[in-house]
Amino acid sequence: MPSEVLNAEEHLSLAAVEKLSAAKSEPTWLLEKRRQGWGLFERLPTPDWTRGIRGWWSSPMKGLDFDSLKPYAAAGAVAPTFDFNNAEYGEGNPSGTLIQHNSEVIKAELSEEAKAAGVWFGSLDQAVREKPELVQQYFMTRCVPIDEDRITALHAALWSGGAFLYVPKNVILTAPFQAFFYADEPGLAFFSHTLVVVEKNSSIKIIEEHISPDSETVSLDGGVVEIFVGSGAKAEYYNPQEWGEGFINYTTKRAMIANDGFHRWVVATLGSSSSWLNVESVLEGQGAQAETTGLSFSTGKQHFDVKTRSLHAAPHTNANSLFKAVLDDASQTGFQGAIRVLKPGQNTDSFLEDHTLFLSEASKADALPSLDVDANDVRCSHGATIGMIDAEQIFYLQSRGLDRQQAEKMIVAGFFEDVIARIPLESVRDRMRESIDAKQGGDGSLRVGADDGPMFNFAEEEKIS
Amino acid sequence: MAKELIVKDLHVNVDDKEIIKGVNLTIRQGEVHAIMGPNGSGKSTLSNTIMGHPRYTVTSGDIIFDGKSILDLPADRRARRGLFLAFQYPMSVPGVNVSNFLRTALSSIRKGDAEPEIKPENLDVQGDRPMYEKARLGGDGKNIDRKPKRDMLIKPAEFRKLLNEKLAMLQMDSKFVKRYLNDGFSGGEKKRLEILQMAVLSPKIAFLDEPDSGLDIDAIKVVGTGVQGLRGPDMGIVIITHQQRILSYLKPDFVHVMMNGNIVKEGGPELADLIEERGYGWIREEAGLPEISEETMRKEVEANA
Repeated sequence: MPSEVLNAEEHLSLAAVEKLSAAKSEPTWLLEKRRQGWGLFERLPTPDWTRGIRGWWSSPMKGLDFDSLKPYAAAGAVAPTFDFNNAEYGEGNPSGTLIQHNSEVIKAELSEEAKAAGVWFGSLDQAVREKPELVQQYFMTRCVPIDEDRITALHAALWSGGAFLYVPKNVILTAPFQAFFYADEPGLAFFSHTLVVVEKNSSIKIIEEHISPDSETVSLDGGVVEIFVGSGAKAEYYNPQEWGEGFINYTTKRAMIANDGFHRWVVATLGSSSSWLNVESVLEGQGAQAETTGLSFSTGKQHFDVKTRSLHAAPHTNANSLFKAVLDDASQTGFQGAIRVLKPGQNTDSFLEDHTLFLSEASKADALPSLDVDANDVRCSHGATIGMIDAEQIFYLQSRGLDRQQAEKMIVAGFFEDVIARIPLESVRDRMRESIDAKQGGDGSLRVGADDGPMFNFAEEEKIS
Repeated sequence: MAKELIVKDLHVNVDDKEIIKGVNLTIRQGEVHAIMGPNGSGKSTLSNTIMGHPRYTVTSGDIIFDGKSILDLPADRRARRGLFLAFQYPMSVPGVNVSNFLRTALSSIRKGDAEPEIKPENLDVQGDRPMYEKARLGGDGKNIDRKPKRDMLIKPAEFRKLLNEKLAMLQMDSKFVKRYLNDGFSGGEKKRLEILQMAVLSPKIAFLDEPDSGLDIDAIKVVGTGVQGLRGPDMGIVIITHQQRILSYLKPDFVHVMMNGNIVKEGGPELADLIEERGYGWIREEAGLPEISEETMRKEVEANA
């Protein structure tokens, strides 16, 4: 890869798109796809954030000046390291690790076990060269098409780097894959892309991280995640989003789940100045299952939009979605959750819950769960609760010596605990708790739930009673 | 020397209505007091005010503990000075497990209200296990590690030992402390958990707001004997109740009868027996108070709820 793919003065333009493709020596079909993406970007309207039922807020996208963004930045001299060590949790060395720094993937490693099983894991750029048929078949085709919306179209035009994971059939890997997206070039238009294809009866986990330093300059991550879960296959995707201040995070994540496949989403929205997250499960095969767990914690002036949908397109499909949001300061969240059952989706079970907790009266939230069912033999339900932190709970904890801040931290940690308990990977549970505590000015060490680890192993005390 | 809690001519308003009307009371470490009185007499308001509930406004008078007024202190600082309140209706905090909560609480209480005096040999860094390290940049000093220093908590081993002793003493199952704080607890379990907290935090003066309410005879015995077991020269105990039964397991040194926002009669343990026998009517007459109307009583009960 040439060190300067696009020079620093480049703006978002068709010329930049073509230069980027040429620098990467891409095949014609991909250049065409980029051009189409650019064309759509020029035609489509800028997507709107939710306004709040009362029209409380206007879309942060409106303030985004596309002309001020840089389409490309080289990795730079200072390389980030990825220290998430699953091995220390007894979860094994990672099956693969990929690091993208700005627009370039700087590291892609695959474990011997995964390699021997025929797994392919690396940058999308590299996959275009080495696995062109697979990329052509799965990349921005029927999962997240390039005409999804304006930002996705721009993504199709200017993506760079990216992660591609291909798992052939009958491969079961317990140790997770890790994809780490790191951006430190202010004003960058970043387009993180993760494409995962899991063939029949295989099973994988992938942890995706987004991190950047805080900046006063606006940057954009127009991210896309596409996951194909084959028949009888199992995929788990974990994403603690911790972009720094200055980032507008606009991301679409979608899984297509074949018959008897299972997909798990765990998405935490913690970082960025404003975040628009759309996470969807398309249950397209009979017996497909999806579990979605989402948490968000907004502070300061953060604005988070979370959209989720379970689309039941086949019979005997199950989905279970649980979302929790905590808001502090003058932050805002909009939640739109949908269960959509198409006519063939008979004998479907689908549940959706959303709970919101306010720590401050200046924060605002809208929760709009919805049900739209065309089949006539289904079990579907949705529920939402929303409320201020309980002053009596705070007094109770204060009367035990915890100061107000400690009391609030404990209540928040407890509020998220059942969401976190749904995460099967201990390393990720710990990571989430740490991030939540740190958001409240904690040191990341607060633990309230059952995972006290060895220090609270009460096995020996059982005898006492 | 035994520490004293002195309540001096205390007047308390709730939502602009005067509920406590000039209470005087002195509690010392080592003493057991019972505050009795019918519903709506202001007993719960008194204990909540002493603990520092923000809803209760002290309009005049003072609360002095260990020689200093505590009126301006929030509840947590009163707790760290050695006050405790066992709630009539303990709050549940889902997702927070009892042992973690109590370890944090005890660590705060042990630090005291003065600047913390931390003995390194008693403390450990919580989470002595591998944890995710945020991305780090080397070389140019740019570092996005956002993880600040850790709070210091009591060593797990020390805490576990203490907790086990208290559980055993109160004949409680260790499963208790693995559950979420009061979440899904029965009435009796909640009251016992309050007593466990009191045992672990070992306050200097503890108020127990109707630890017997809603309990059957057997459960009252468990709670009463549990508290009796905690009795000692370092702990002053104030039981708030309107029944005599719990006092048969926990004989008070002093009995105060509260009515209409004030203490109207005081005596020794024999006063509790008299109330059991004859009710409150005669005290009301003696104090020259009018019969309390249903309406007033209901309002006051609501105000205290």
